[in-house]
Amino acid sequence: MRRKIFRKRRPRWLDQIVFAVVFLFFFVYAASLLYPFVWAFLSALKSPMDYIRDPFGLPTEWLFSNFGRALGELEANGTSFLVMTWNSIWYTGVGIFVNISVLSLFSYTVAKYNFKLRPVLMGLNMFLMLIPIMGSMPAAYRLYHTYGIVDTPLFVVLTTTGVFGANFLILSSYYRSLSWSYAEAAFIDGASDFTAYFRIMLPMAMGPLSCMMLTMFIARWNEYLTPIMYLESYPTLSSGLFEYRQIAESSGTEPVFFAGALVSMLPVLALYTAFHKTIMENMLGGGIKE
Amino acid sequence: MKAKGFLSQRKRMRMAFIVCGIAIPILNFFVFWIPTNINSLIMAFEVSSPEGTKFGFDYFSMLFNEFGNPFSRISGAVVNTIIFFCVNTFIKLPLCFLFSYFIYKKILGYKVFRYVFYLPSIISSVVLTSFFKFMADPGGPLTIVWESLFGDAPMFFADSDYALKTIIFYTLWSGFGASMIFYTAAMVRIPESVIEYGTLEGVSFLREVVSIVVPLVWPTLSVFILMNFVDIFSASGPILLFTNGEHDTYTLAFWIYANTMGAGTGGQNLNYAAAVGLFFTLCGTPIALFAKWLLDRIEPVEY
Repeated sequence: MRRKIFRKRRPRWLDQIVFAVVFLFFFVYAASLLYPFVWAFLSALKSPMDYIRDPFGLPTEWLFSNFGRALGELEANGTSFLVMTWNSIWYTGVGIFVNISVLSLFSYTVAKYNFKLRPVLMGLNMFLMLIPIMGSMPAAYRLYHTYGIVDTPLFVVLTTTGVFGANFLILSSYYRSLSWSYAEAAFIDGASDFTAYFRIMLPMAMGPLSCMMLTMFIARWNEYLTPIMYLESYPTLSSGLFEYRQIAESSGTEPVFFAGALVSMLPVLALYTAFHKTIMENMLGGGIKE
Repeated sequence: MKAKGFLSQRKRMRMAFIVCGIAIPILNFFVFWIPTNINSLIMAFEVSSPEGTKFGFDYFSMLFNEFGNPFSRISGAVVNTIIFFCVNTFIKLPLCFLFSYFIYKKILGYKVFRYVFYLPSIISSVVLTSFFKFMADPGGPLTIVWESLFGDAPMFFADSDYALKTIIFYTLWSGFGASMIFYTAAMVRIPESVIEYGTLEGVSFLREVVSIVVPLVWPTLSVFILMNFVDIFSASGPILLFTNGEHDTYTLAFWIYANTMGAGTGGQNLNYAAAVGLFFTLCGTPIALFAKWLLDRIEPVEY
């Protein structure tokens, strides 16, 4: 007796009902995620009285000047909004440059060269990723103070040279997948290992590296705890806004705070909007496109 | 002779390159990681008193004494941490996986949803928590909605009965995006023919998720489950940004931060914080290793 291959296809109406219900749920959830931004934008255009009187409604007078006030008036620890923006720029830029430079060279070396320490370094990376060390914050806090790097830009440079972790794993496996024959051809032409790396292999890894830079940019731009703990004299937008929020709550300048907060997220939002497809496609290690 | 000289020069250059490549991360490891963790160990046992410094288990006995006190801050922190771990592992992770499944199935508007769901992950926590907090403060839109539905609105962040629940709600509400991308990326690699075969066989959505999708994306899923277990005692929400630990919202991670900075704890207590950190590292390591062993028992499906 012939076996019936197609028994009973899942009814299409069932698919449609399930998808309709999930769509409705997704729509409501997405709206709930977007609403705070709309609300904050409208609140940023209100006067303090207007904000208190009618938190739901439209501004009675559209005060776009609050955005100008945020740039001029908003400050934390005596640092103005513009200086905080500059601090965010160098904190993010220097951190990414140092980290990516060290990470890329380290990953390439471990991936492509055979040397005695290689398995040790790979094992060490796994160990550091797997052992759930918590509570090293007090010791790190004391150590950074002992080294005298707290509240100096040197702190950003030195602490970002630590590259063990998931990014090392991803990048070294990417470099491993690149053909060694490109470098060999360069060696035959008299290139050194440095030339082969900087002129041939590094440009080939720009895809995953730029994706990592994008995600690092978002993370560092938004980071607030490290600047609060270790860079008191250099408040970034995130850490500064956190401090200003407490002032805004007591002084009734919430609209100015909202304006500043919205301006602070513009760079990240612009980058995300422009490159979200790249970020999405390359987030997963194995998903990195060659 | 000349060739030999050339070779040795080439070898030296290669050695120099390798040293340049690995020197900085290794130096960082020895200058920061090793001293930090050795210091952490020493600090946990180092007890300072007017008579001098001695080494002992004083901080550990202090910790065990606190465990016996139902009103101690650290007992509450442990309970809250476990609550966050459970919410992350048993509610957020499965829900996030389901969300990813429907994004993968290209539900109507999936590109827009993917963009919007990921937004909280790229916006500064300070900004997003501020918007949320202002909305939930008395007179804010959330309290107005609450009042119209349930009557008097509580002080969401200033009432011990609600503060932790509100923070948990926030972490759930804002936390689906980040890992969703990883799940979707893994699902995209499932061969279309496997899903199509299941559909023709009449499998339900639930069966498709449980019997086809989960086994095929198990390597990715198991990493996320494992990470939850590795971070079991670090599980937390944005406590500093919402309540600064007030109204019974302490978690272990926040407790360590507060004792490091001396915020709301009557001064810095680095040594006690180091001891607590060490204790929970020791508790967390076997749990993480057991979770890894358990997850490794499940063989991934080759395709």
